[in-house]
Amino acid sequence: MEFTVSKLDLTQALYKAQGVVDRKTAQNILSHVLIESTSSTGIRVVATDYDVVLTGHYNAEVAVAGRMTVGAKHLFEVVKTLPDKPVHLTALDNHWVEVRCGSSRFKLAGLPPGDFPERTQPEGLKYFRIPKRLLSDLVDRTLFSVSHDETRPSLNGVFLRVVREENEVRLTMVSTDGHRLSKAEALGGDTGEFGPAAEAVIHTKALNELKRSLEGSEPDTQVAFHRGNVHFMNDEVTLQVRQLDETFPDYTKVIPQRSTVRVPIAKALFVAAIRRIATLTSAKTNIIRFELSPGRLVLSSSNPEMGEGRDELVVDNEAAEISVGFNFKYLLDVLGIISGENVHLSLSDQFSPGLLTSPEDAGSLFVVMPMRV
Amino acid sequence: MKIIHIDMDAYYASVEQHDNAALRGKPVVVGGDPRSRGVVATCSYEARRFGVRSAMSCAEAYRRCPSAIFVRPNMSRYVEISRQIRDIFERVTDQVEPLSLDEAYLDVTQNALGMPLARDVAVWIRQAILAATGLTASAGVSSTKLVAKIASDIRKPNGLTVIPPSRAEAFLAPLPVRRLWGVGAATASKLEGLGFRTAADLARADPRELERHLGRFGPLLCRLARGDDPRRVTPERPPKSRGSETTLSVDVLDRQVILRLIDDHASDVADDLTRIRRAGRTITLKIRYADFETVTRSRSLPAPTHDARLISEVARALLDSTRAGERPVRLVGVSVSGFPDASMPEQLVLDFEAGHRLEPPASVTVRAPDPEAH
Repeated sequence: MEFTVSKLDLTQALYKAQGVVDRKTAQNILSHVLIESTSSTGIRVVATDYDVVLTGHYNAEVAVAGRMTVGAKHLFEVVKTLPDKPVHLTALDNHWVEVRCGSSRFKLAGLPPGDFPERTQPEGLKYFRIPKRLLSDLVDRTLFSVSHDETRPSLNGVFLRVVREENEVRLTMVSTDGHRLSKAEALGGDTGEFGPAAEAVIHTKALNELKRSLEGSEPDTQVAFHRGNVHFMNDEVTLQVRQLDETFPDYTKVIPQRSTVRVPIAKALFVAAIRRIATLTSAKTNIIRFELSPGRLVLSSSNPEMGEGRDELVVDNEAAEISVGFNFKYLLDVLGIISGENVHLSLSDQFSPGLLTSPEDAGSLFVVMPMRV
Repeated sequence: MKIIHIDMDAYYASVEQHDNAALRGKPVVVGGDPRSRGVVATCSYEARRFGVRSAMSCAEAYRRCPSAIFVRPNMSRYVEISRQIRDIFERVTDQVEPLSLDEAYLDVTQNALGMPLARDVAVWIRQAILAATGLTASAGVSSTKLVAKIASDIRKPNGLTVIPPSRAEAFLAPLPVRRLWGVGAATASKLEGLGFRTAADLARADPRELERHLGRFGPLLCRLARGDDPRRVTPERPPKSRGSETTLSVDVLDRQVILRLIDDHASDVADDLTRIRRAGRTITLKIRYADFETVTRSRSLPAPTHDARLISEVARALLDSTRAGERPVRLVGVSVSGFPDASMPEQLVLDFEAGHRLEPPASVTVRAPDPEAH
């Protein structure tokens, strides 16, 4: 195989592959990318870890058709240092690959392309179309609260549900680590042949990869559900993700349907007060105490070794008196992602979940369990 | 200080004899089957005359006393009666330190009965226990835990022994060092090697010399031997762990059998945790191979749990790092520890099973002594 490709395209392809390939063991075929010709003017670059298959299509002048594999990490490191000129790759004997660009010349070790995991692009996928912006907003609103506890595999991913609504799709994403829960929802796009509904739990690794692959120039991404896999197609890149074989918990049960009080708070002031008071909380617990009384919300923290701090926000609250503790990091995570200048903090009592919403972020809600003081 | 040590007489066996008239006056052994590999939990005084003792193998107990009636323990019954006894203690004082189901220290310096003499309080308690449960208890009364505990054993069963503070040192003097708190077999033989045979020997010793040999425990031991026990009665020590284990009737190679046992134990431990309203972060699997080599494997979770499924999942995974399946196994146990410090704030968890309603979870209520109760 022999072809010429632009340095920019090849760098892009390899950059996207970095998150998928196994970067630790160089001898492993999963640390390699497969490059194969699709026509005299195109190549395909594939990276996989079995759960995720990333396939990118790029323009290239193919002189000799064929396929090759090469270590993704080494090739990326070589290519990104090259001058901005066409890059020539040639398959040599014993799976070596020669890389030439301007005056530079490299010989990199490869593995037999036949060792690369077989994958077939399924036929007849029923894609729907949604704006990338919308999908990436949902990922941002849920990825941070996924559980990394391997003993709770059903929480190691984001729950994704898609429902057809007339010509549009309603997309819901939910994640939880058992202490907090994030839910984001949006309606838009174009349903295409998709319908009526589908759901899946998708591992965080795949979602991080999805975010990378959403960086292209087209406004929309296409999504299809097919036999335990979810396919995302963006510009020249397709991402095939195996969904987790886990049942996501019934999250509707833990979302407070009504709370004793809903307090509007200016987000910027809230964040500033939390950061200030958090300086004195114990690193072990991250707890901040909140005391809500008519007209005000008092934040406080204390640490036997350092001292104590207290701050006060004027809030619109008539009668409720609630005292509750929260891990401040959970609150800052939410306040860092939720849109709008004002947030609503809904509370019931010291044992019940708190709820953060924003009138300017209508599809999103964030549940945070308190800490028992 | 006025301290009472209460110790039920042959507790499990007495409960069985009380519940079943056919067992009264007979040697009764509570424990495993005599053909099994279980051990004696408790035996009646009739059985003790034949030389049967707690912790002896049931086979040995049977050899010494073939006429003994072997009874399987009925723990829930013992727990139930223990609660009744605990209630009686709490009518007297909230300064109760239970040591087990059948044994407790009470600090009765202040007591709800308004009795100035600890002896009178002890008499009242023993009568109240007998009236409520039909069982007898022995009591030791003194100014320290150490002396009260040793005293309760002097006139067992159904005895009461009072050692006034002025007689405490003389009372301890002739006792072998082994009887003192904190002295086990190893320390005892070390002390004997140094020429300390009795409490009196220790009472005369130079605390600094003892410190050289025993470390920080040395000077404390010296104080104990003089009848000076600084330990206070500490009500309800918070539990550190909860566990459940079984010794198998035959050694097992089949991993499936072990996995099922793990599930059972996980479920027992979870029930127990739920009952005491605790959750732990560390899950430990204990495996004893047929040759008695015992291994434990632990894993800590990011958050405390009392969920049977999760406990079992983790314990099952831990089994992979043992040699169960290749080597025969005779004991399987699961425990949960790492309870969050009650004084530390604890992150509450979302309850996906029951959901969240508006009422707070029920909390543990600490009973205050009620002087109006009688």
